[in-house]
Amino acid sequence: MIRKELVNPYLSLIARLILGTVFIYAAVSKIADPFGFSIDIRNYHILPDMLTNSAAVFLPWIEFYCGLFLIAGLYTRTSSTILSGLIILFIFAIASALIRGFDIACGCFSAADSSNINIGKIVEDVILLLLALQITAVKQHRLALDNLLRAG
Amino acid sequence: MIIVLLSIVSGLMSNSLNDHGIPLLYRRAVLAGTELSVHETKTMRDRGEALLIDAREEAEYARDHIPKAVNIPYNLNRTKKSMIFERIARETNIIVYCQDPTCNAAEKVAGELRYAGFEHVGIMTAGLDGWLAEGFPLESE
Repeated sequence: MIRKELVNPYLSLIARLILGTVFIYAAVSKIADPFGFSIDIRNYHILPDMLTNSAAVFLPWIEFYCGLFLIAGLYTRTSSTILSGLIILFIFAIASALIRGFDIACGCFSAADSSNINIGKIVEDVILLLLALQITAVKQHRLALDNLLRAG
Repeated sequence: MIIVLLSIVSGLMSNSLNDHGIPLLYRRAVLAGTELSVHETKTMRDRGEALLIDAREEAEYARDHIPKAVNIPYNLNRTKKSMIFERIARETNIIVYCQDPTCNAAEKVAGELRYAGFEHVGIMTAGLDGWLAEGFPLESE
C-alpha cells in the first residue's frame, strides 16, 4: 500500500517539472552531436557496435519527448514509465562499466559532459528513478493535459 | 507508441539535416578512416610524414609508447581535446594507435579527429602489441 503523501499530485507536479527539464536538457545536446554520443555508447561495450549509431540518433528523442510530455502532463504515466525503464538501463550500464573497471565519460547529459562515470552518477540516477516512479504511481495529475483529454 | 513514432521520425529528420549526421548502422572502417600496417606506420614516421597519436590513457602512455608519438587519451575531456586539435595543422597526416586490434580507443580518437576536420587520419590497427611483435623499440616517459 503506497503512503498517501507519496502519491500527492502536487509532489508529482514538482517531480514532473524537474524530471522533464532534466531529460530535455540531456536530450538537446545529444541530438546536436549524435557522433559524440555514439562514441559514449560504444565505450560501455554493452550494445553491439552496429546498433550504437541508431541508439545515438533515436534515444535522445525518446528522452526529449518523454521530458516534454511530462512537463505538459500528456501521456504522463507512459512517459514516466518509459523514463523509469531508461534510467534503470542507465544505472545498469554505469554499474556494469564500473565493475569492469572502465574509466569512461558518462555521456549522461551531453557529448560535452566530460565527467567520467562514478558512484555519484548512480546515486543521481536513483534519485531520478524515484521521481519517475512517484509520477507513475499518481493516478490523476495536476495541471495536466491528460485531464483535458479525459474530460473531452 | 506515439512517443516511439515521434522519436523515430524526429531522429531520422534531425540526423539527415545535421551536417555531422551519422549512418544508422555503425561500421568501423567507414568512420575511422584508413587502416595501416606497422611497417607503413614506421615508414611514415621515420620520414617525418605522419604524426603518431597514442590514444591510450596517460599512465599507459607514460609506461611505454612508440617513440615520437604524442598522447591524446581517448577519455580526455572534449574541451581539452579540442584545444590540442587546434594546435595541429589540418593537412597533417595522422596515425592513431592503441594497445592492440581489439581496443577501440584509437578508433574513437581517429573519429573525433575526422569529425574535427582532419582529412588524413589513419589507424595502425595492430596497435602497440603489433609494433612490439615486429621488434621495434618503445620508449617511456
